[in-house]
Amino acid sequence: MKDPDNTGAQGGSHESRFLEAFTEYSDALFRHASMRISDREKSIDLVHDTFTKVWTYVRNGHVVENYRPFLYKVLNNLIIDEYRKQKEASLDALFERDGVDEGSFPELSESTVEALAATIDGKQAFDLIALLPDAYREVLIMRFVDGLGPREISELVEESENVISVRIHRGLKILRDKIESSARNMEENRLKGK
Amino acid sequence: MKRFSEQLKKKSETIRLRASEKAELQSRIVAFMEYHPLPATVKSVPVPKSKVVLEPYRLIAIPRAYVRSFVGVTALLFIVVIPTMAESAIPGDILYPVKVNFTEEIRSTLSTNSYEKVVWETTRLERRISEARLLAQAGKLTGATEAEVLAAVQVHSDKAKQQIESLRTTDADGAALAQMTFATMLDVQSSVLKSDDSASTTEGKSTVALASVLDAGYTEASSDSSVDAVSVVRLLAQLEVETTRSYELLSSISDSATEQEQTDVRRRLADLESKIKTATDDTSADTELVKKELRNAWTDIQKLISYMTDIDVRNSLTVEKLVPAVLSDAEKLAQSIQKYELANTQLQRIKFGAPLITEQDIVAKIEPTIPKVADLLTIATTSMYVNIDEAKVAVDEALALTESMLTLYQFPELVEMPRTDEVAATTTIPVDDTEGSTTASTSTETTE
Repeated sequence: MKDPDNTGAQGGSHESRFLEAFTEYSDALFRHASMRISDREKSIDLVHDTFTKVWTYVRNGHVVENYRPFLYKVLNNLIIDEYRKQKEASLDALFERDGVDEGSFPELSESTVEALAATIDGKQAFDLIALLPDAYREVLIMRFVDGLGPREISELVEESENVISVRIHRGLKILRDKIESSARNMEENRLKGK
Repeated sequence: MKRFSEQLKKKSETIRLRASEKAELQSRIVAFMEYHPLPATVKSVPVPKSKVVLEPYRLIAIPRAYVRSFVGVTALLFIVVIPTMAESAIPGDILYPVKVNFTEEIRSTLSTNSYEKVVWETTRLERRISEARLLAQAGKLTGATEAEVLAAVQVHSDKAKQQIESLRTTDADGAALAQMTFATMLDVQSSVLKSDDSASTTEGKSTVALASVLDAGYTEASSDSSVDAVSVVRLLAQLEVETTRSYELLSSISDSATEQEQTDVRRRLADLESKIKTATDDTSADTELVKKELRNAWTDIQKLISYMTDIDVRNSLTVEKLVPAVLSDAEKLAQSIQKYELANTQLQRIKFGAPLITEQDIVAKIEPTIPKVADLLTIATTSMYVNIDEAKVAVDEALALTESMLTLYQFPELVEMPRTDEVAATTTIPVDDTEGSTTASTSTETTE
């Protein structure tokens, strides 16, 4: 690889830090993007765009102390842009249809989420997670695949932690319903086949 | 949730960039960087010191089989291998602290009652002494090391005493027995140290200080009058247990002890059983006298057990020195006759060699002693078949005097002396003419 600034690939330069971030997070970002938009080529492009945007940010004189959350934020914004291009239903419209106020679940806590997650098979969830609305898919992927905490997710999506907890909880519920529904359908088909 | 998360994460990890995709992506980004290089003003901005990878922990998947194997091997190493290797450690070895502070302390906790604790502390004390002997034999018992050993001996001794006191509150007889056992051990170990060639004042080899400490401990332990209070019943019961144990030990050392050693031990055990029976059968005997006999039997049996279980004791002391055999009258007679002959022969040698002595101080010592020996031999002659114990005492004393005189001067051997009638007459073995019997058979018992 060329070293455009002849500063050497060793640690200590902005370039080396940036490339180290690429080596470390490119796979995780690609995974996140793929699970969100289910398009491999598009996901690669989104990861490329993420890094080029971040490089531009650094080139403009900004200092990135912590690459991980910053990369996720940029990627998330790009994914949202991609959704808008695909004219997917907005989160607001989704909630207007359901008539749910996300801020009205103060009793939701990590333990509630834990209890709910424990009832769901992770393997089946993986196959069905793409069927979830992106608002829920996004937080579930960030939480259970990327390993981000509610606080980090709230900073990424610019919502309160309580809202994030609600979305995670709802997303798990919908996932479980879809798994149960899928299992019922399979059973019915099996019985019909006899 | 952990399981759900793990399952989901595991499935999701199948989604990743292929190597070619990653390489191509990287080259695109690098090309972008080259086409949009950092301005000089940005380059001069210090690079943040925080690391790019900020996660405090990195998850490294280790197969459970490896973890189980590692745990198993580590446990085996620390619980079995190292303590086993430490058993042979002596002061100065790397594993010695493991032996003293870990293995032995663990075994201490396994003792369920005070008596067992006393026995174990006694064993630990024996170990320290054994280690000191090994160091002395190697010339490594320096002042500092000796001080450590003495301190350790004192610690174990104090712990044993504490346990004895603790036992005394619940079982006075048991405490007394433990006290006697402890005192006996100190006596035996002191004898072992004194018999050692390394019991000298040479630096690194001397165990004199240690022997002195043991002697002092023995004096203190054996002077405790509380041992006199042990009941006859308890003594008999414990003696039966220890006797059984001794026979079991005897069969266990059949491979390591010589035939003579085994015979000698068997003889002592028979003597002890006979002594115990005699003491208890005599219903007219004073209770205190019976207790004293049984206490002596207890001490003797502890010495025998020490002889059979401690190879240092077996290598340093004869069983005769530890527990002298109880001779029958016939054996006493045979032994007395043998000693008589020896004392008499020595006396003749001295008599005929005395005129050759020129040193007046030696003459002054020998001249009055010769008639004394003659008198003692006369007493032995007259009482040999009448009162064997009296004859034995006289012969032993005569023999001690002749041997003492022989050390003062290099008397010529009797064989070089002309054999006259006087010599022939004075070397005659006394014959039992009280019942017309001939001389008893020679004893096979070895003597010191």
